[in-house]
Amino acid sequence: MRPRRSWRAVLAIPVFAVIAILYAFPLYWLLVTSLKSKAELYQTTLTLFPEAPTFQPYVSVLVERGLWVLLRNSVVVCGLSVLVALVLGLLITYPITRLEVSPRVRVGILNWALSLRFLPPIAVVVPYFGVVRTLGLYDQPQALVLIYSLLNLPFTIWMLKGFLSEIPREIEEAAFTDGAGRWTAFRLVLLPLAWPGLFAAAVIVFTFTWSEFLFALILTSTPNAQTFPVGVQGLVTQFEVIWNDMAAAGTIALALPLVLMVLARRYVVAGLTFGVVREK
Amino acid sequence: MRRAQWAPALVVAALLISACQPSTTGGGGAQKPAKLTIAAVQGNEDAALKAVAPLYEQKTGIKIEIVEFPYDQLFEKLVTTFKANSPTYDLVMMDDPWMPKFGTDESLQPLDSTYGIKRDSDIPDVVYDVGTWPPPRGPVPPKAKGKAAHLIGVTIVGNVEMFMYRSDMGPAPKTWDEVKANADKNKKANFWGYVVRGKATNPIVADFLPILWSFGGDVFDSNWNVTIDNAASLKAVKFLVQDLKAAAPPGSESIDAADRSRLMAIGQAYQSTVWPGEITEIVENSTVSQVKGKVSYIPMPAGPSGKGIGMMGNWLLGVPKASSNGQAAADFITWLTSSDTQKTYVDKGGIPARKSILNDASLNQKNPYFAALAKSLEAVPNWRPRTDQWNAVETILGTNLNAALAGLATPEDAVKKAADQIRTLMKGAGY
Repeated sequence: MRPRRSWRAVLAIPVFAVIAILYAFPLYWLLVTSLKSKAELYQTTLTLFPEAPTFQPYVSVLVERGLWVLLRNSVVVCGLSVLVALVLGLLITYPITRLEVSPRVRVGILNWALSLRFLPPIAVVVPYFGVVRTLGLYDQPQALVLIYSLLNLPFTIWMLKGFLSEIPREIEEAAFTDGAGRWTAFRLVLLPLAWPGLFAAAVIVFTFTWSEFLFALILTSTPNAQTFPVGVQGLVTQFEVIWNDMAAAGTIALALPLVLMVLARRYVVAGLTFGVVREK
Repeated sequence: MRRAQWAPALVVAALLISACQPSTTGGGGAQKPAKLTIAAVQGNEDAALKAVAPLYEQKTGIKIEIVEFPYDQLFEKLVTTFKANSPTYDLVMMDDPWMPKFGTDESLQPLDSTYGIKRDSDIPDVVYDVGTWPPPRGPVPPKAKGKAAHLIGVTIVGNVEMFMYRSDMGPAPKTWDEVKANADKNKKANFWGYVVRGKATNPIVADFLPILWSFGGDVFDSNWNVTIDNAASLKAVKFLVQDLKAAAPPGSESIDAADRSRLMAIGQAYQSTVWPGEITEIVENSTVSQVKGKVSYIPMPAGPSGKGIGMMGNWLLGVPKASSNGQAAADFITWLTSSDTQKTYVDKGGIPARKSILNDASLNQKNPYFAALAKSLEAVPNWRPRTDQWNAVETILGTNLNAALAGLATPEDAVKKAADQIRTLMKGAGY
């Protein structure tokens, strides 16, 4: 006798199928449009599949329009921002999770970090513009690295705090007993154990930074420092929206964070559920 | 040993930091620079500039770097760069309505007195006038009164707004009444008699001003008094948002130039106003257009005033005050606008302003809009009011016109609201 499926299970399949299509279709449409020629886009009827798939839009975006330079800038700026945010995040998180710090100080630091996260970027873009100009960092990637690191620091602190708090102090204390100093214990004991958390934080900070547009637009002016999102918006011209090139750029922009997220999904989920939502 | 463990991380960090270092460009001062950087608008308007730039490098050894931005972002970028007094750009590409703002702010170097650029008789005076600040005719903003006029920008895209229609289906309209009659006559299922470029702010204002002027209306009179709510102006608004809209595709309030040229190119529209950039890029582009050779281009039809008045939309090159390569930048402008270079420039899709090129018979065959552009320039098209407040005025007017087109306000309410807001704005700015 076959097991009877509940009516809920029967109903769930089409509901989830519809949801999956709603989520997946824009991605599918992005990919398909990126493989269409300009002539195909000017046909009167829309097609679900490209009639003559072409990689020309990718060549156009990366080579002919030179956006590979901006892509490289994005990778460098995001990579450095992740590095700086993690280093600063560890410097702040380590004392409040591993040392005897009064709860008032700990909560104060965490609340301060949280308050930074609530700051709308648009509210600080003009003062930052002034600061960057004064420091002579206008149109320099270092300006973006500094600002992205600062903006992502609160998230990094909260995420690392969750991970570090999960590591029992006894393990570190065992290393002290064996003669290790605090630095050695941190480097050889704590860091390897915290590695999944660091990786998850790095991936999320990288993803946030990757799609940042406002500061990149305001604080840069040439391909010396411009990032990929700034180049992508240039594909809407006054008389034409270059849909296939824009779709190709969108696919390229999507690819790297998507791959990173897939690789790190287990840690990211853990990172987002550890201590981030509760103060221990 | 311990240091060795950290070495890979340090190497990676050092590589990342070194990758962030700005590239050295050399140049500066009076010496020949290695590179000139141009901020340009992305799209058809700078395509020919990009195509001929390598020729300048071959000739002089100076590399031309072109940094592109979309229309709105280019204006914002220029404003912030000028405010920062940054020498990032040696040359900037500017739409002509931006000139009053940059002229008033004294963001650009005079090209005539500083670098000796002179008018060329082969280029219509109006083309030089639009790059001159304060404006040599018409009302002058209070802040610019009494100042000596200087050439601060030279046209490299001789845009004038014109009119296009399906000449395979009917005759050229001479008046806006004929435009309306042709629109009603040719409208059918999946084919629109007229396309209104009705998107809010700049697009609808650009579409509307030639109609407004042809109807005898205007935004300001010669003393900066607001006249957008007078009888002639209101009549023009009603003509756009009621008469022409009746033959236009649904959703006109969100249609921009890209949608308009697409509708023409796929054979679903009869007529509309048009910029040269739409013609070369879409309507006469054989790879995408189904109507190549079936569309004709004419100067703006006449209105009740008896005149058809086109609108300038020139793109100019200017030299920012902060540029340390002013002479080299001015030399580039002279080279680019020279008769010889312009022939190559046109061959690469550029939109010229030289009479000899616009009236060249062989070039007219390849560029079917050249004759209409020549006539439009000869007739001396209007420019948008030469006020440093134009961007704000355009936003107010374009927002209210868009509301009337969308049916969210009556034409009377829209012009009254726009006029009141513009009066307040101008009063606050000292007009």
